[in-house]
Amino acid sequence: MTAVRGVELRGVGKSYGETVAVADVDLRIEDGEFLVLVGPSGCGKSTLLRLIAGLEPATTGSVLLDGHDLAEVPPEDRDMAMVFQDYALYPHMTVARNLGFGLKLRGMDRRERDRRVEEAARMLGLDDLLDRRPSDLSGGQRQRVALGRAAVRQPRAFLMDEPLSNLDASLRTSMRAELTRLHERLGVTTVYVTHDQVEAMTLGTRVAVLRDGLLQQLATPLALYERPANLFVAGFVGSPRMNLAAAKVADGTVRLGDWTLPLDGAYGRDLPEDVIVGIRPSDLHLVPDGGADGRPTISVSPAVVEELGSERQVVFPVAARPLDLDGDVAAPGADADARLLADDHRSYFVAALPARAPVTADRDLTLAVDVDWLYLFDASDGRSLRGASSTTLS
Amino acid sequence: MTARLGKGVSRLSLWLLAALTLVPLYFLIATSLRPGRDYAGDPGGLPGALTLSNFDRLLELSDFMRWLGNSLLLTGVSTIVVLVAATMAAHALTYFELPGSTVLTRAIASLMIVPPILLVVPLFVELARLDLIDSYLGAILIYSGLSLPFATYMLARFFSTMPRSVLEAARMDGAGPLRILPTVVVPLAKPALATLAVVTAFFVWNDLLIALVFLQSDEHRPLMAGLTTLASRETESVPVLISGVMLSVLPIVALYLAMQRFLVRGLYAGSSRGGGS
Repeated sequence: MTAVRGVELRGVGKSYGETVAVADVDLRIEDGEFLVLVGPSGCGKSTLLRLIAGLEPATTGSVLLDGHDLAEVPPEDRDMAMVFQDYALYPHMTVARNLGFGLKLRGMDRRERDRRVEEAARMLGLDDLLDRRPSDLSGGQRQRVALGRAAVRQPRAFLMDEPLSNLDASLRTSMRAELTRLHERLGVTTVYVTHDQVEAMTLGTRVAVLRDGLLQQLATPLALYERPANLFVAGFVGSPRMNLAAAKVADGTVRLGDWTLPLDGAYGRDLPEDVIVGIRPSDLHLVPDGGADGRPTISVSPAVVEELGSERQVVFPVAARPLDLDGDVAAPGADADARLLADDHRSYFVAALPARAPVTADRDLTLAVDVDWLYLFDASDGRSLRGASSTTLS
Repeated sequence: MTARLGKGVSRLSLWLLAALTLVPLYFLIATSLRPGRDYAGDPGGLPGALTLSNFDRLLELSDFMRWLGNSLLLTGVSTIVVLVAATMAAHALTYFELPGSTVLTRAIASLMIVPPILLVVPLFVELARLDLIDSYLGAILIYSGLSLPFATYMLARFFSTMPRSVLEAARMDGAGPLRILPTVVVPLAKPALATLAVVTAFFVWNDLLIALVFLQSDEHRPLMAGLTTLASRETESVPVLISGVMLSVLPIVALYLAMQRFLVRGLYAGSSRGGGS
């Protein structure tokens, strides 16, 4: 029987005393896959990466590489390369020596080493910098050296811990493209940690969303966006974030403040009465002159119109109980009341309208709701009632 | 105008303070170059004629070159022993994060408060039993032992400030905990190691107590102890003695100058996003 290739986590957990950083994570990262671990800070994503690297020992569970348990294998023998958030270059070595250090430690002969270093330098545009020290490089150049140091080894897996977070926005965009190219070219299994959902959505073959050390959902970027498993994922993925508010279900409709919206066939009959309704800003449309094409409409009074150039975002109040911005709604009652954000007990929704849409803050407007993309979540536990992606884990 | 005057005054006082620190050096150089009679006439005055005869006389009268050789040997070997042992101990204390390593580091540091004079008698008894009195090995063991608490504590403090991610990067690159020491930790610790080398060499080179008690024969006597015995014999010729002191200072000044570039250079620059350029 051939061993399953790739990285596998079986019930992996990590605690520091009473604090649980990672709780019972099961995850299979296929050979050659680009998996992104995403979540807010403190969710355990970097700890999970360090557990895979072997830099931290797991409290429970096991990490497997190509079917072999790595529990007794120290980081230096795991054949994984890591790119650190702060690059962690060797300051006393030139760029060439930084790139070739791992190869030298593996006893590779000098000629082959030089060839690989030159190849990696060419690939990342570092040819002219080989004799420089890290202190003589810009942030972007250091970042490329850190990537090159990992790439030159051609390891079994790349582990990347927020490698782009210290770069400015434009450099980040170009480095994202560079990372995609690198992955396509080398085809090495990659685990990439980020808190930036744009990076997660653009880079990942699949994305694992973590929160408080728990895996919330593992799915392709599109599946995460279209079929979030729970309120947290729904609120975390997408920009502007999904509009969420408490609502009531009755007779195949959902009552959200003053509005009653029909539910489509995706929802069964056994829905709880108390739900959280979610509408993506992009699923609210300006009603054209010809009418709403049969879609239900809502009449809103804009509070603010935000001009982004490429689109106009209209912020408007909804007569419904507002929710925590983290999508952390869970049970209604005192706990939920404490999370009320607006003292007028109203939620604020955002509609993302096309550029130059004829809207102003002082004029009411009618919006059509794309009910095919209406999301319902159980108000008691935040679980999606729509039926999430098949790869959902929670 | 007032600001410029204030600046001028403060600069002048700094120059004066700096000049004051050079007075002993001037005295040392001037006296070693004065004929004995000239010095005897006016010890504090300006030199009349200059001569190198004091140095000739020193070499004639004493075993100076042997003492110098002994001092170089004792200082060199003790410094190397201290650097190697303290580096390994500090690496073990900081890298492995073993339970109790902080307490152990502090316990080691607390040994610094024990004055060497208190240890002389027990050390003498112990070394006599091991037949190491009046031997290079015995003296090197004592010098190393006395220097190690400070050396280990200082290096452990320095190592603990090293960027953890650089050490982890080396591990991911394939360097085990022992390989990391010579390839990453030591090169990054050059400023601390240079400082430690200078401090340890100063201590051993200038020591009198251990040398007088444990190295009693002319064959093993180091420079400072030798010059002290010369002082008791040559009470008349201060310039000859001073010329000996003058020569004894030179190797340690040379060591300081050689290490100075490491003392001032910040080697961490550029390892991470914040450093360098």
